[in-house]
Amino acid sequence: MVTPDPLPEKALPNEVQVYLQAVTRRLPGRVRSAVAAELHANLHQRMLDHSLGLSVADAWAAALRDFGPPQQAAQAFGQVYRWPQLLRTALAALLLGTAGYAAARTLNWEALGWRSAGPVQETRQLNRVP
Amino acid sequence: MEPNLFKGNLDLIVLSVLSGGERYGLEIGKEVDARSGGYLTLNAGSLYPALHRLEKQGWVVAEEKQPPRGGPSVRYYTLTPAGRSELQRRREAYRTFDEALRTLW
Repeated sequence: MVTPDPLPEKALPNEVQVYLQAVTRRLPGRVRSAVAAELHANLHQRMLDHSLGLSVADAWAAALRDFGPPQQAAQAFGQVYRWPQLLRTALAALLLGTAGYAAARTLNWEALGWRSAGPVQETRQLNRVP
Repeated sequence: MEPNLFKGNLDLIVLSVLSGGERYGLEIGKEVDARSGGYLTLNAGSLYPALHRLEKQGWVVAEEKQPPRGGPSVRYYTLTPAGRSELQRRREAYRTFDEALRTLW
């Protein structure tokens, strides 16, 4: 028999929300919500285990104690999803660098009173032209 | 229990439980605790990341379903054929290592 949810989703205790955020905040966006949903659903089942002898609030607190510190879960999940995050950071840095270099090449530095950013060899060749 | 032994055999523990059929995370933890007489305990910090790692490796697949007692849908994990082969390989590797070690005692 399916028992009714003793605590509606909107009334999720603040401690549970803090736990879920602490575990998932460094994860990539698409993974973050999936991991939070899974942990929330399993915490809910653990809360039901405790709800036989405790108030709903105490049952949630007991479930959180059973799940352990969020830092450990956050670190372990970070290792599982580390490479996509690193790859994204490296790609973003590469794109930013390329865009910055292209912008520097198109600027007329001499008009701004600065020496040209062009390669030294090109400048020397230009100087030889009578 | 010895933390390094536990960490090194976490995948073997989880795959072993899933060889009995589909389970969601909390069920896996409860079963490990009950069958090992409380010697092995899986908390969230080790169990759920391990399940996601096994899923990425293609050894388990997950499906969201409503649990019998109600509440939000949980992810039920099932061994894939590759996961079953991996479990067999790891069992044999563990047995061989254990036997070799015992010859030194």
